[in-house]
Amino acid sequence: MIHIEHLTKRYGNSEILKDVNAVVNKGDIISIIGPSGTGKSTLLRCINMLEHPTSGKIIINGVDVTDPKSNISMIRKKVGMVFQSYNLFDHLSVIDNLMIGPIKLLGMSAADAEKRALLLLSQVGMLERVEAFPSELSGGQKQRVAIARTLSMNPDIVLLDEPTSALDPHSVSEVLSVIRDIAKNGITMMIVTHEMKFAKNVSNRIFYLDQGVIYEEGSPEQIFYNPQKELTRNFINRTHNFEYHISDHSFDNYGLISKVIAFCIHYGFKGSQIDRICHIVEETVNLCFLSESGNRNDIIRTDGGIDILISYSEERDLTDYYIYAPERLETIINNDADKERLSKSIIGGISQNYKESVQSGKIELYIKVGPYDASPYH
Amino acid sequence: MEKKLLQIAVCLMILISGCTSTDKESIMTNDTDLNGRTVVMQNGSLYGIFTPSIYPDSKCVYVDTHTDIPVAVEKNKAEAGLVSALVWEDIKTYYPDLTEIDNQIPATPLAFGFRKDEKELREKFNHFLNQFLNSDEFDNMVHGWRYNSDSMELAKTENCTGGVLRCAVSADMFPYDFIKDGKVVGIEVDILSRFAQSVNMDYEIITMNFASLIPHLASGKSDIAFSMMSISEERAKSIDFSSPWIMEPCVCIVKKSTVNNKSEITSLEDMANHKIGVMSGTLQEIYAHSVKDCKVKIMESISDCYIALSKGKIDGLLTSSISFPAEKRNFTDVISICDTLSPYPLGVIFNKKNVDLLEKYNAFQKEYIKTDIYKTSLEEWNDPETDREMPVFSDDDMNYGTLVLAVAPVLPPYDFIKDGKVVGIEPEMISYFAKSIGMRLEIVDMNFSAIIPYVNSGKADIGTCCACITPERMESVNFANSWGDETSVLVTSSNPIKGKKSIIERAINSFKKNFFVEQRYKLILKGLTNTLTISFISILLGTILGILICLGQLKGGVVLRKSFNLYVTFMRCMPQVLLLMIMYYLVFANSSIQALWVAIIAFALCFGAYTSVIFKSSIESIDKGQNEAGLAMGFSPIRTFFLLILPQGIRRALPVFTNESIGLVKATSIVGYISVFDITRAGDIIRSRTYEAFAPLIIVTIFYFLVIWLITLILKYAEQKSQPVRRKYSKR
Ligand SMILES: Nc1ncnc2c1ncn2[C@@H]1O[C@H](COP(=O)(O)OP(=O)(O)OP(=O)(O)O)[C@@H](O)[C@H]1O
Ligand SMILES: [Mg+2]
Repeated sequence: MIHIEHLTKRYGNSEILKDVNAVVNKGDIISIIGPSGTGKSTLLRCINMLEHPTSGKIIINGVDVTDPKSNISMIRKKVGMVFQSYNLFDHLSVIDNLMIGPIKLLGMSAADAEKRALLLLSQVGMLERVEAFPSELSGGQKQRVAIARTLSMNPDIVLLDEPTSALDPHSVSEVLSVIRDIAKNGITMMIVTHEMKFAKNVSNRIFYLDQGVIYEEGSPEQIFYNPQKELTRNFINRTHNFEYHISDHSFDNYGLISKVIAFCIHYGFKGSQIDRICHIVEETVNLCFLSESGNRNDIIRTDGGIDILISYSEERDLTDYYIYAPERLETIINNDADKERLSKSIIGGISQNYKESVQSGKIELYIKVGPYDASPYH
Repeated sequence: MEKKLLQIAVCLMILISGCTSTDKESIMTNDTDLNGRTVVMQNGSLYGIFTPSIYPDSKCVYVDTHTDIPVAVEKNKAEAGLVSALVWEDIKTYYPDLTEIDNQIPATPLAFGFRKDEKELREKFNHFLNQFLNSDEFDNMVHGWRYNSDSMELAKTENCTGGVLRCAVSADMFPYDFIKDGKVVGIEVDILSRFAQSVNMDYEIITMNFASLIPHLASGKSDIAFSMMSISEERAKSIDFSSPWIMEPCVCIVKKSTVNNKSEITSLEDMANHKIGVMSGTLQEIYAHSVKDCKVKIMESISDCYIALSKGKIDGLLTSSISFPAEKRNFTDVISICDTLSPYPLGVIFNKKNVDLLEKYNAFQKEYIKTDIYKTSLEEWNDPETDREMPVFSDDDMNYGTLVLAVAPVLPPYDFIKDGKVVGIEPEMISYFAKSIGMRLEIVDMNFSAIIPYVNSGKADIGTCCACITPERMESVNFANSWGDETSVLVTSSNPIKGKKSIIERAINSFKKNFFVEQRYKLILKGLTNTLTISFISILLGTILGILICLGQLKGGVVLRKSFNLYVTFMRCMPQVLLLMIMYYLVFANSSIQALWVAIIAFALCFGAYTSVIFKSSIESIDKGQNEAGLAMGFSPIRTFFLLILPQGIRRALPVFTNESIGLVKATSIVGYISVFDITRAGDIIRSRTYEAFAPLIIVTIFYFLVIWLITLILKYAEQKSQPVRRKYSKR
């Protein structure tokens, strides 16, 4: 359907795309991932000629779009695009945004266009707001309308450039589920995204773009669980860490929890996930200080306190939790003091996968949190 | 009984003064000058009662001692002061900056004060006073204390045995009572001492503030109080008064600088250091410049000069002796000072190239000025009572084309507008001339200063504006032989008196005079039509031009963009008046296109440049994502622009566009420069006939307001239309 051959694109002296070659088949759902600034958007915009390639060929349905003689407007009707910043027509109401293309470009009658628009709006769950103007919608609602507008042209292929990165976590899921639904209908899509879970679950192919080329491509399983090349591996396995030091029992409990929550929100954790992580933090810290005689607090104060590390791997959607306490405490999971095994059962309820060990003079308690099967995409 | 009499007397005085004030209204005095001013007077003096009733608009301020009064006036704390004549006579040498003006405050009765329980003493005193006032001694005594107080002596009472009279005196009122060589003396003290002597009593003077006199007396601490005390009802409540011993006239003092000393002007030379008003481009302007040290204010019409004179903005004006009688009828409060300024010849103006016509005209004029038509026209145009009209000739005989006459109709009786038509001695003369050579006459009216350029550029064949033949002018145009001489008159204002009519009455009268008399509303309506035409058409054409320029700048090639940029910059830097004049006198100098259309074109060119900037910036302010979304959907760049970008751009541009349109309407007020008759000019013409500023200006303002309101309404409607429509859908 789309053949990209030796595509290069340079801005002045910097060569953003060096030599991109790819074939997109009908029905493919391709996620394009990669570090920021590697040219993912540029690649997508070259396909519908919003950006003119420096050299190379892009053949869509047998027509070379880079050829100045080809009618680019004709091709664009078949290649829809969803923008990061929605770009709804501000002076048109929701329904008019969906009707203007079919009427003016496809020659549809107003009645037909309206019927179709209402159908699409019901598909994206926006039937309630047909009369609204874009300025009256939330970000997620705008993006859903923008997706419906793209579909109103009945395209063969839809290009999506980070459709959710301008949205808050709640709207992200709203928009992603709409895209998921559409993907099920067998339409060809290319999605630039930073939502790794989504990429993994929706697409059948992943392009990892780096160094100006498609550095590695493969199935989601291959790219996410068994990447072949070094840069891909680094990208997939990169983690985001949260660290916190507690020196004694008088630490700021609320400060700690609010910082944990802020970290979780930053990486788009859902409410239930955040709750679990907070529980784990609270209970493990509680266990450290829990004692009958009261000397554990003294040990902690004199031996250098407790350290917490939350390590989140976005691409694999894994959260590892570590808590380090002085060796003299002997154990964190303090069965003697935790008489009713309350804390332990809470931790166990959240994750079966925990392990206590001694590492270079410290007790380390490791808890594996996630991936979760509670996620709506699973 | 006396109290009653006194009240009646006071009332009478007020009445009389009221009557005289209305009497005096018609003749010229300075009296109303006090009205509306801040007047300072002594606390408790009768002036405080009289002033508000005679000068209702004035504001009274009070000081405790009368010596503060001239000081207050001198230091500008008050604009005028009221003091007793005798006092002022004495101190006026100390206040060289102050001068007296007429006033209508009645003379004040001065008397001695007595305790209410001392009826007997008062009776005795009145008896004594009666005799003394009728003797020659009284006048001598008053004169003596005023001019020769050193030689005056008080009556001796040391040896009197009938007790002591205690006298409360303020002792600061020369020549009534004052301190000399440590002793309290003066006219009143003299009277008192004589009285004391006559009743065989000694007396003792207790000095205090004027304000303390009455409480002091009433409480029984003294027996008699005096110090230029005037009889007032208020005071009569707590003390008794003797019969008045003198009626003291009131003097109103003001700063010399505030008094009109125009009467000092008796010749043009006296105008040195004064402001003189003249009409621009007239002979009088030349005269005025020749007066040494005189500030010349040049105005567009002679009526502006009169208005300025009446408002005190200028001290005098120069006008033509021929038009002065007509002007005087409209403006009564003027005096002509001298009309002996040397005469200048008047001539009709011709284009330098058209010598042929000039010669024909000279021949015609030579005969014409001998005719009776000419002689009666001189008289009758000058007299508003006659219904002289312009001669009317049928067009059938006019086989030799059209003769265009440019007139500045602001100088009756030569050239002026009556019932909406240009008339006067000169237009009549030219119309006979046109007939004599078989041409149809077309009269164009315009500002005085536009006449010469107009004739010079060939837009008119003849110009008349009561033009004096000067060498300077002869360089640019030809003059016909002089048909008459003009002498100049120096006119100054006698003090104008504001009529006593109510403001509303005056406003209505003035409105009638400026709007209905001589069908002046026709002028306004004619002006309104032109203002509307120019505004609407140039906004329309300018908007189209603006859109084209904007499109060229956004989508055009480099050459187009650069040249449009240059055009816009040029137009934005160009004052609209200059553009208008250049268009009319240079670009369209030789074309027969109407002045109205030249104005429309000029304003459209400007407006196009201004609005292109508005359109461009509002289109550029639209997020480029809108453009990309349109392109990505498959719209061609052109369709994207017109279907998606332009509607949003217009919506953003409209508020600023409305503003610019209002600006254009106001800017059209300059079309008078190229002889287009708009509302502003209609107002000017009316002012030149009625010699009033207020009503014509207000009427013109109201009409501009209406035009702008109309345009705002239309654009508001457009703004609403450009708002996206919310279509209703039944949910299915
Ligand atoms: N119009 C332009 N002129 C010059 N440089 C550009 C232009 N557009 C993009 N670039 C550069 O090209 C590179 C690739 O940009 P692109 O937007 O395609 O990256 P991206 O992979 O989409 O990044 P992100 O994930 O942050 O959106 C960037 O380094 C950017 O600075
Ligand atoms: Mg991008």
